[in-house]
Amino acid sequence: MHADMAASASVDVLTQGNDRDIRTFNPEKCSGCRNCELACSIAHFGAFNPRRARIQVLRQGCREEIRVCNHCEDHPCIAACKRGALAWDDGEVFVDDAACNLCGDCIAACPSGGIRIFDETLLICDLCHGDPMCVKFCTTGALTLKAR
Amino acid sequence: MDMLLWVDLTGGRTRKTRIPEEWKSCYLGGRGFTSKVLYDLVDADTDPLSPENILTIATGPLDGTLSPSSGRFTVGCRSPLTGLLGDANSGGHFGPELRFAGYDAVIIRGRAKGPTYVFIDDDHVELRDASHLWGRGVFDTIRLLEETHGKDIKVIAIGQAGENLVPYANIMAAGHNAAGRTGVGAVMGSKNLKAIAVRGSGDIPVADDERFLAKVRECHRKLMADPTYQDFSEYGTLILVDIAQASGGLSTRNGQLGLFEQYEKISSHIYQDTYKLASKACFSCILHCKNYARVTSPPYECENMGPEYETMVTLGSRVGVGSLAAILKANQLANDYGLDTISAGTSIAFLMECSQRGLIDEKYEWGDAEFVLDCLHKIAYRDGIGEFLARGVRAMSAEIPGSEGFALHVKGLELPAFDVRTGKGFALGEAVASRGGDHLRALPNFELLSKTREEGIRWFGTPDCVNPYTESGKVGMVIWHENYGAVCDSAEICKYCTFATYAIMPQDVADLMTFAVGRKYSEADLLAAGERIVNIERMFNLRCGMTPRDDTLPRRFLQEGLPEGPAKGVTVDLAKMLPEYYSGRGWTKDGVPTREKLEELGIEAKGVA
Ligand code: SF4
Ligand code: SF4
Ligand code: SF4
Repeated sequence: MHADMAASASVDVLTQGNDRDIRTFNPEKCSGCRNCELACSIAHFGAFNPRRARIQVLRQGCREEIRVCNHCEDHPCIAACKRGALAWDDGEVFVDDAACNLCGDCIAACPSGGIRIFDETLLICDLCHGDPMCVKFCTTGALTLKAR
Repeated sequence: MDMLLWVDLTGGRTRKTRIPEEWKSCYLGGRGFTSKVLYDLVDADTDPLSPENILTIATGPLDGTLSPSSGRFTVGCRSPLTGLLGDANSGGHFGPELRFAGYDAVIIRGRAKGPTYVFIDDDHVELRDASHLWGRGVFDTIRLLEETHGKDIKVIAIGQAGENLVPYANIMAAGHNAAGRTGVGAVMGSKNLKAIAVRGSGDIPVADDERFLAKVRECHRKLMADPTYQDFSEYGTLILVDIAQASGGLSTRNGQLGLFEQYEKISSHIYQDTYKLASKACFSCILHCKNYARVTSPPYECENMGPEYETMVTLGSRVGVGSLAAILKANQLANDYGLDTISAGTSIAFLMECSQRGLIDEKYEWGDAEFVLDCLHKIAYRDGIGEFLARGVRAMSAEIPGSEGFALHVKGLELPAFDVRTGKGFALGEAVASRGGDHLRALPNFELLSKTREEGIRWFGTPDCVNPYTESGKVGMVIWHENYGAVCDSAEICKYCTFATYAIMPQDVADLMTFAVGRKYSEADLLAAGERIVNIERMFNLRCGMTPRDDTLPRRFLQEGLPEGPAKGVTVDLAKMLPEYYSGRGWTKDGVPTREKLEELGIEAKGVA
């Protein structure tokens, strides 16, 4: 059919990230394919399981919403943790699993619903230390990286 | 993973076993499993609507992973519509969820005493009372199950059509993904089984993460570089409405015409500009062919996933309806009642043509959208004219002398939207398909995509295979598509990755499966499995009484040329292709697999007269 389309098809949509970038989400482009969840879970747990993903895609009618840590400027989750299990370093939240007792105070404090517990593990996006897998496998352009 | 869940509805028991090794190596998964179960466990005397019929729901070895568009599942059983092999395949998110719960397949037998649903919560499996769901549509059923078990379950369910044993009732996933052919919903209804709700929270590991992910990315790149990808990801299957009109094969008024005078009103671009709100995807799919739509104007208000090409034609041009809003409404109703839109629309079109020709006394007008909507309701409840329509085209035609020539079915299954006079590979494929009048067994889109003669030679050894209007050069192409198609349906990878775009080829699937499962699959292994599946399906149909005489098409396509357009005057000459097809398959001249062929494929001949 449209042979000329081949040339214009954007082949290399997979982006490289670094620790100064921030992830953006455009719900207009999201198809609800859940590839981001799958990529996240395999990267961190060596298995596919959307429930282990630190990013969650939820369908509301024809629109998807995501729940994920936005690495916000204030990061109130850190202060909410009375056990010192969370630390902020270079735009990223670090979890000390040994110190965390899964009390959920950080969950309540997060304004974007970005923290969850599954299988006795606290799940917070760590931006894959600068090379976010969810962005890499999002082919629609709904998830992208932008300089902070 | 790797578990088979057996559900005995008569005894109210469930048990779990491991999937036999032979199934995995020789039949792969999905459709391979459902057909294997039929071949091994269902005999010629089994009434499709009796407790003895077996309903199998099977996922594929890539379900739940990042493999492109691999979240599908197949439902198989003996079909109440054709009496032969029945199966239906659906996308959505149910297949992966079943696998996350730990099951590759569910085999359902018997009949529950009263309305029942199966609730699967990982290891926990329960048969529950569905009295409060019985009589309800699919959307309501899913909503109520989500209220009971939480929003994170995935559901397949039947609507009123399945409950009332309409022989072309669907099983619906998430309300808009249809396991929609051969009446699998009626078999589910006959078992008093309203729904299956699943929550799966387990892991699906793959054998080699790194190579698997690299392969997935390679497949993504190939898909996005394919010439068809852009159109497909933008317009979905509705782009085919435009292609069909351009090739003179937009099935109009029951296939009397191939050009629809109201085409402009149902083209993909109009749809895009009027009702469509967003493109959506099935699990793990980067093509996102699904479209979400909203109609706000009375009396057709509705909102949900919009129609596919098949529905746009069979509830549109085939019945002469040129109102997009009405077609969207019809699509929504069919989904809620759980009706196959192809079979329902084609049955209504058949009735209209009988009326046009004065073969019946009643007057039904082409394009009467109100009538079409009313029919869908009446079919689901088998009420009034609906009782007659609910029998399907073959049975209706048997009661109306002089109507056989335009009864659009093969082996009792109503024919899909595509007019086979405009694609001879499709014509052969639909004449021999193991589930009757179906385009998806072969789906030789290769002949429609304006491929060059050189490409034809490179792929299938003949330049003729790229010319849709000739019979010559089609057999090898169709056989390859059938074999690889069976692989796709068994690996549960969407055929739009393989036969719409031709991006993902057998070697790619072999690699994905090898890295996922940790068992070495070669391209040849897969294509042999595909051939094996085609052959056991053939053997099952022969056991059920099918004869090679049934490998045919309605007289309309064999003898009546289209009156206008690019395909003007073209008819299908099956006799030019069938003998070559049988011999190409290693079957006798009567279309029966030879002993040598069965031995070569490791199929034990049984139960065939
Ligand atoms: S950046 Fe990494 S950790 Fe964060 S949601 Fe994406 S894949 Fe998961
Ligand atoms: S991968 Fe992208 S398009 Fe797919 S669900 Fe995630 S954000 Fe949406
Ligand atoms: S191409 Fe369409 S049908 Fe196939 S998996 Fe993607 S969204 Fe589903």
